[in-house]
Amino acid sequence: MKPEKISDFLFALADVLELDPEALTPTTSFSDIDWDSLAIISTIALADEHFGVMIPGQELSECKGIPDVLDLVKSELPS
Amino acid sequence: MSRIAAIASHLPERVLSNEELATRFPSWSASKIYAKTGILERRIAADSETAGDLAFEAANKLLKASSLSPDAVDMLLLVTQTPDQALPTTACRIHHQLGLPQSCGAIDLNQGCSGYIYGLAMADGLISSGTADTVLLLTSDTYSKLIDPDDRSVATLFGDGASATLICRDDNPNVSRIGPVRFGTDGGGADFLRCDFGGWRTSQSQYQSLHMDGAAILSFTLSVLPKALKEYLRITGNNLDSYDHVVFHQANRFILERLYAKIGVTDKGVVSMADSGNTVSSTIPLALEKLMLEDKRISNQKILLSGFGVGLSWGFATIIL
Repeated sequence: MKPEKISDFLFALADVLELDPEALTPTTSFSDIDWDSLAIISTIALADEHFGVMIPGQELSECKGIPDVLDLVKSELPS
Repeated sequence: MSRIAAIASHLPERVLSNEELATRFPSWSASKIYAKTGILERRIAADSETAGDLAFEAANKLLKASSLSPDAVDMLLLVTQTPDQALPTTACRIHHQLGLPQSCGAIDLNQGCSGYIYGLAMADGLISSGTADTVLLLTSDTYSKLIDPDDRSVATLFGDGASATLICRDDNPNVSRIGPVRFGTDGGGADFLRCDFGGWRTSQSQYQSLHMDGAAILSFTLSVLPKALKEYLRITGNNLDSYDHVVFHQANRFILERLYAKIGVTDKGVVSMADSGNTVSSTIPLALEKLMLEDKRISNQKILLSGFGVGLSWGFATIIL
């Protein structure tokens, strides 16, 4: 995945989660973030918009940080 | 061939505001609830008030406003998933309350978010086949009675309410004012929005309140609907540019704005749930009623409707108001 696409996605996600624009990086963990149902559906919608993939909600709810989320996105991309 | 002649609505009196919800769910402020859902308030039926009661009020308003005699109605359709009781059909009681003639039929249709589309198709089919001339189509639900008030994912979204639509024969052979209509179903997603309260699959001791898998419903909406719409437009020979308005089921603003953007109709997609929330099969007629009230001379406006959700079920309809 192109780095610019990843940073656009993380920027948009930070905005939707009402965080500082730079709050989410490819290594951010969720220990300080409220990873609730709203965050999960926002992530699903943004992954669809930015990468054209549908991330399964169950797997997404088990993510511990952005690295897990990006791995999920990668796994849904056509090979 | 038929047309929508008039629409009326009725919401119960009790208001459930975002401020009240914020005291119940302290980590969500009133403004956050509005930002996430597009809803300022929703209405909640009183304990003794049923979907049948709300539907009767909407129907009464419609008949009075259109100066239509009850004798003229020959079919009453009630779309509801929260009937007054298992039997008889709630529409039969409402038929009696409205003083409709004995020659008029009455039936309940159990469907949710796609229910209005089904109702329009049934009404048009009954009229086009010569079975009826004047159909009173009601939608009404009291999902609040199925919801756990401490489940913030659904308590913030759903509201109670009812609508009444008058559908009459239209003998203009050149213009179809209701239709084409097409449907889709995926029962594999039945558990994404379910309520095992009442019915006979579950014993009374196991009754549970409404459960919604928001992520699954969102995924369904964003992946299935756009493809289904493309197919609808292809097989009916329509294109999006020809529509004046697009009125989709008002599930919540988050899903709706993303769906409109994905389909490319942000400029003409109607978002209108701030004062009623998700009223299930009533969201589309409530939004249409608002459109008609805002533009009293609305005529020959081509509108794309879509209801989608619980079932999983979806439908598309083209109407000309």
